[in-house]
Amino acid sequence: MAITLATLTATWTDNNNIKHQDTVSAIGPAEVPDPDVPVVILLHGMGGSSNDLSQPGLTGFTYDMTAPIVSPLDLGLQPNPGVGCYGFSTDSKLNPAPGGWQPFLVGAGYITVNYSQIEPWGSLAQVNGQPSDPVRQLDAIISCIITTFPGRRIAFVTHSRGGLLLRAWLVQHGSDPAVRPRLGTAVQLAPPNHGSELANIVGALEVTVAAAAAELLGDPAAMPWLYLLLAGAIGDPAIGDMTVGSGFLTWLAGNEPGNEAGALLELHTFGGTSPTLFRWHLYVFTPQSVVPIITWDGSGLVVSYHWSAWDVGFPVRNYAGDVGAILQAPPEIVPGSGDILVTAASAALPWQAGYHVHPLNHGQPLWDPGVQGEALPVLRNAWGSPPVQVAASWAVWSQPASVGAGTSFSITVTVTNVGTTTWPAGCVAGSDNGFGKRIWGTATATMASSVPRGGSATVTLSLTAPSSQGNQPVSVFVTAPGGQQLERGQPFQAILVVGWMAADLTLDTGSPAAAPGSALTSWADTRYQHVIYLSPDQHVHELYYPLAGGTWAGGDLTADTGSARAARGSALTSWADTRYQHVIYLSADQHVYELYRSVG
Amino acid sequence: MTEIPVSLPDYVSQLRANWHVLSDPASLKAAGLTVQPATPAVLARLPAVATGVVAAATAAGANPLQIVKYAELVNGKVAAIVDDGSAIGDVTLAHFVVTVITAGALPAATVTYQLAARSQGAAASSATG
Repeated sequence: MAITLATLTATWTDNNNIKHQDTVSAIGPAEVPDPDVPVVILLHGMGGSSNDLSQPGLTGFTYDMTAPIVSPLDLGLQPNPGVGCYGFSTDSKLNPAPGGWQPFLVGAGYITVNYSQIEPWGSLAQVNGQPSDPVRQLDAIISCIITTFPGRRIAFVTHSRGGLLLRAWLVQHGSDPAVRPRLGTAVQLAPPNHGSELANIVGALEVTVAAAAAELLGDPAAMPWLYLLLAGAIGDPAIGDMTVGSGFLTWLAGNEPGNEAGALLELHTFGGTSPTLFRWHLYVFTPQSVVPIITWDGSGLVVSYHWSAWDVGFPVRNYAGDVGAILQAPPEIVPGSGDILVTAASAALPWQAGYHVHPLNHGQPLWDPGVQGEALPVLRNAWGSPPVQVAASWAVWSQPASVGAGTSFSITVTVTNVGTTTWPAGCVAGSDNGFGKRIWGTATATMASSVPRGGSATVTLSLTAPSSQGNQPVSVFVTAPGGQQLERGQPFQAILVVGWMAADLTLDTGSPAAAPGSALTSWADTRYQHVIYLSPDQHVHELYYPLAGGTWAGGDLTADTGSARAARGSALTSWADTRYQHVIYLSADQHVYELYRSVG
Repeated sequence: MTEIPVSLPDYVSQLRANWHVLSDPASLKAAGLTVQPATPAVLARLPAVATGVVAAATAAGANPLQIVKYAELVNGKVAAIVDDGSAIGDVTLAHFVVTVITAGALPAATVTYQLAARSQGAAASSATG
């Protein structure tokens, strides 16, 4: 029996600075004695509500497509002959209505939190760099769960856009020290992780459904609700979010911590490949329906006809899929590829732990027992209390997006003691690739003072980029004075190590720009590297950089020496010998000028 | 997807059964119906749709089919019967059903013609059925 185990009151402030207080019930079995049972948060899809995951029969999706087709259909005795088309229908709804995820999970012993999201047609994208309202709301609810159910892990079951909400929350809050140890597993049902060509789908449905409706009824107003639903919503922000290549999806992919996201959460995605929402049944009278049956009933002759009708289906039974053969249909509505709204391929993420594909449409995962049965072992992996980390660190730092191979740079790191004991003075911070390999050099920084539980220390670490180019992982660890490395909580990050790098020497040195078409010459001596160019006023300029390290600087050699200006378009050449460095140019009167200086 | 086959009643057997009812004098009398003989004059007055169907069913080079039994069923009632009195089980009889929907809508105006025809010059033969 399902009961309310707790009433959560989540308070949060939206992007318009309006305070919200949401009351959400945690529903579970009457007895949850096992402290390892996780709390499963259910996140519905676009335009939906908590009903989607508790009473999917209310969605209008629950057609019974497994019922056998009876053909010919016995329509009984009728007083007139039956000729031509008897009529058409769609599949009836499942009866009894199928159970949703929430009763299924409660029946399996889980604690569930199911709520109706704010702005179900709204955008999940950040607002002025801050989390969107649905993300804020989810974060507040998760905070309540962490407080109300101490020690229990958190799992997720999401449908469609709910999967994007989870990812958006994960990017912005998943690494929070209070949250990360509590995260377990997630099941994403039909998530548009790589977007959906929803506008194209609406276009295809418009053509197909209009044709079908006109053929059957002469009335385009008889279009199925799915088309009307999508067509009406095409301008909503949620649709914009989910469009392939949208700014939101790009941001999500760019900020998701790559493979490390898999360390935050064990994610399993479920994609669908059936674009059939329901089956059409077009009934055509059999010839026997015109054969009269004449009987004597004791008072008169009675004429009747035994009607029967063949179910010949309809060209649009699989209406969305069939149009795919006619039009350049988006893959979402091609059989074997999509589920009407999302392709199975769009569900897959590089950091997922598991990928599951079922021949289902977009709504069916809300109640399909096959999916539920496959998801249960995934959720089972979320069982277990978070480990108690006696000595653990959490490091935060800023880093350059890219560095040159072999170059040295430094990062400022704030390490927080997220364990249960105080760090003694003398702990050392260092860097590696997250797996113990010191690819960034062996430099360390020592913390002079002790760090209490919850306290932080800031240190500067010198790093030297490895010679291997490409994205290289970097992580910060803390070692106790005895040499024992503490458990670290934060994920590693990536820095792009590149070969050639670019710098604007004119900007860096504040030197004048070069004349259009200026010649260039350069050399290196034992202490400096040099570049020479001509400015628009025909002065010879030098830019130079000390090989021992430092910054680029510039100088006007014409002004410094008082020599003649160079001719427009003069060539330049230069060299260094053991004692002098030389620059040669042509003056306006075609004289050859030398500028020279002792090396160093 | 599973389809469940359903057996349909035998078409000719049903029409023969109808002729049994339509040839029962007691039933016809009680229904106030009079059977007209299949004379040339009567046959000439039959609706063109009925005679046309029978004519169209005549195989090329064969003797024309001639209507020997005719029942007109209008909106679920027997309106007229023509019968030459031949055996119902005659295996040389060809049976027809013609349905005309005159108003384009059910059940407003439907007429069903049940016909039995025999090739001219063919001898009647008896059979059970």
